Amino acid sequence: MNLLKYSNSICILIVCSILMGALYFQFGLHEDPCPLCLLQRMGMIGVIFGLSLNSIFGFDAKHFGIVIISAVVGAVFSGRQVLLHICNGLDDSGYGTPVFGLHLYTWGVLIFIASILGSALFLLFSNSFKTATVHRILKFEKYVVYLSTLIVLINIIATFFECQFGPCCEDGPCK
Amino acid sequence: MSLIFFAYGLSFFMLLKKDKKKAYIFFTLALLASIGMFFYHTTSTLQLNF
Repeated sequence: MNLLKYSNSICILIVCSILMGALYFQFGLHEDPCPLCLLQRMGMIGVIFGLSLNSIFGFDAKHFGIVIISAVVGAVFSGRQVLLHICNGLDDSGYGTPVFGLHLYTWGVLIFIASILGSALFLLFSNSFKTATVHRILKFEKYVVYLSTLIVLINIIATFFECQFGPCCEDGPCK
Repeated sequence: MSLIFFAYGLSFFMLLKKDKKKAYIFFTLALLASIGMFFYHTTSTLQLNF
């Protein structure tokens, strides 16, 4: 059971690492995120939320349902951005700096597909993780959820200073 | 945009307070708002897709 709990927290950390990478691009490389990039971050936060529910309340199929819904929504956002750059033809080299040859929105599609597949696998073997009558939260799980909350808070502040309450960057990429 | 992130933040705050019902409510609101914002982006005359 503990192995599953640790693997759930590691999945949260993987998605958190992508969000931290996006924050590094924003503050370290001064590449402001586009509106669609912000929407993809929301999809990832939804995935983290579903996994965090597992950490706090124990494993439940409903929590994986939240992960799958968030991942599908996020994949639609990422997919649209990928297709926008494919449709623009050969002149379009994509938005932002690529990481290991792929743009952040392409990594977004991959992480959302991985989230859906991971949730499906967990649900497939759901008989192997019956929740204990008294759910115990490991310290590691608690710290991972705290880290996730901190990342969401950073995103709230960063987005407020970039977009205030509006839809963001109305005149093309933010300068 | 920042308000939608704020709603996600509230859902995490409720999660830490172990209030599952409110966490679900704020998460649902945030998710629906982000879907709404996506539709606004796809249909708006502003240059929001890049």
